[in-house]
Order: sequence, then structure tokens, then C-alpha cells
Amino acid sequence: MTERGGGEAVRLLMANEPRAYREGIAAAIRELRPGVEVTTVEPDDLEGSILRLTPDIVVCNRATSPVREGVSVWVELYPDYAPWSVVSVRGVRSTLAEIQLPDILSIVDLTAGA
Amino acid sequence: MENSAKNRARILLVEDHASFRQALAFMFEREPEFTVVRQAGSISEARGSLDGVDVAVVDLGLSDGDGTVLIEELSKSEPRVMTLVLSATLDPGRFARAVEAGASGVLHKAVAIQDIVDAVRRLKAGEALLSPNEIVEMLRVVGRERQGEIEAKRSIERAAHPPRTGGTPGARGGHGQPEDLQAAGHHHRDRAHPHGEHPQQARSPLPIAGPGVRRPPRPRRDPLAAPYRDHRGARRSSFLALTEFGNREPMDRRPAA
Repeated sequence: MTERGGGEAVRLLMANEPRAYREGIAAAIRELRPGVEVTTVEPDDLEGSILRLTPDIVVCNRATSPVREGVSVWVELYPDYAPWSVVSVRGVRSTLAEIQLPDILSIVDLTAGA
Repeated sequence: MENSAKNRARILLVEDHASFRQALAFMFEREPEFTVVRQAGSISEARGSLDGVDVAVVDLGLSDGDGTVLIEELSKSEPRVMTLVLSATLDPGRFARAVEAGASGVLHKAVAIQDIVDAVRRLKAGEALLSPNEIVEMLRVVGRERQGEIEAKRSIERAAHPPRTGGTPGARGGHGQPEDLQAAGHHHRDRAHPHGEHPQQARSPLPIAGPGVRRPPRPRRDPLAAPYRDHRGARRSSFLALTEFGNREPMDRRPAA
């Protein structure tokens, strides 16, 4: 199980576009990290889903204020179809020129180990 | 019974967003009838990976050019390879040009991930993803765009090199306007020449418009947009490139660190 320190499963909310990216990456994480609770929603439902699900990690295209202020770990994945992505882990932000699927898995693992 | 490695369809993935490409590869590898034999993030990477491929899934907006270039190369050098376009473009003309270049099917990235796997499965089974009517309509789109580009180019040439009119301003253009103004897009575009002769005939040996003759389509977009390569590989100017690279402009503005 991929659990947080308290024994709860890590909750990952994916609200990025396009749909094929969202579903493809979510499916891979579900299989490779079966203990993670992965939820996919449309970008329009991102803010409501944050309130409802209180995710540990959010993957989106634009980290809006509710994401930045309410989620400790987030990934801005390919904003405007750019090649780079921005990752923020508990306030420490970094830009990845070409994020890989293993990078996203590492972020999940890092969150689980916190 | 599981498919042996020999019977699996060998897939090439050409996609510049690595995390999605890897996730897509993962999805295909879960299926017993597929194996992803190559992954490429650009046209140049893909060029060295074409041997032994049955199906290529190709993005159009790649960092070093339009995937249509690769599709055309594939259809010439490896005609047995089937190509599925997977793109986020909203420009139907780009999908149409990909089909003209030889793509067997097109999908927008807004589809469900399983739809992509199913599309490749159908291709492998020999099914057509596009109906004859869809193909015809796509080729029409390409034809209209190409004609529009030709007309735009002629207009630019006329504006840059107006023909001599024998010292009578407006005599050839009619309606009191010098032809160079008309050629620059002022006023003439929506009607045929009053004497049954389209203004373009002044420089064209072919009767391309007039009574009873269909007027050529007007240029529909900015003809001064960035260049792209046409179906023959020649550099051309088109709004299509503007759409493509305009959408992706942030790619050229990577953060310094």
C-alpha cells in the first residue's frame, strides 16, 4: 500500500487536460501504485473536488489559488501544452523541462513517505 | 491463449509529452496483442525507429515539426505501416492534411484512453477508421485551403508588382479602384469583374472566374503566417503553421532555469 504516515492511502486528484493524458497517467498510477486513491475529474470540477476529496496531490494544467493554498503537493502538467511542468512539494517549487512518468510516481512516493 | 511476441502488433509511439507517451505505452503493453517497440519524442528520433513497426501513433505538434511530415515519409518508405494521428489540435485542416499524407485514422486527445487502444486494435484487424465520405470531406478541406493559399500568394504578388495599366488608374480594376488596392484585399474579393473577367486574369493565363464560372475561393486566413512544409515538402506560408505553433508558443519560452 502507498500510505501516508498515518496509515491512510494517498489521495491523488487528476484534473488535467486533455482527457487522454488524464486517463492514461491515472491508469498507469493505479496499476503501478495500487494503494493510491486516484480520482479523475474535468478541470472545471477541480475546485469542488478539492473541497470534497481533500487530496494530497493534485495534477492539473493551471494551479489556481485553491490548489496552491489548499493542496500541499501539486503538479502543473504541460500548462498550455508547453513541454515543461511545474512541481510544488510543500512549498518548494521546481520546473521540470520534460517530466517523465517515473517523476510523477516519485512525487507520489515522496508524498506517501511524508 | 496469449499471443506470442511474433503475433503482436508492433507499435511506434511518437509523442513529445513523455509522461503521456510512457503511460500510453503502458496501456498498450497491458494488452496481449500489442507491444510498443519504439518511443520517440520528435520526428528526428522517430526517423531512426521505423523498421519492424506495424502501427505508428503520431502526434502532430512535435518539437521539431509537424507529424504530417513523418506520416508522409512513412507512407512512402513503409507503406504497410498504418498510422493513427493523435493530436490536441482544434484545426480540422491539420487532421485533413495528415489523412492526405497517408494517415489511416485521426483521434483528438480529448478521447478516452481506451478509444486509442481500440482504434489501434481496429487498424490491426484491417478495419477502416474513416469512412469514404470522411476521407473525401477531408481532402476537400485540404483542397480548399490549398486553393486559398494560392489565391493569397497571387494577391500578394499583385500587390508587390502591380501590372502597368497604360496610365489610366483603375481602368483594369474597375469600380474606380486601382488594381493594386484591390489585390491588397480592398473591395474586389466578393464579386466578379464587371466585364466578366476576374481581376486575377490579368496575370493568369487561365480563365479562373467570370460569368458561369465558379469564382476561386477567397483566402480565409492570414497568408503571412509562419511557414510550414506542404505535402510535397516545399516550404509554404499558411495560417496552419500559425495555428500550430501559435498554440504551442510557450514551448519556445522555456524557463531559464
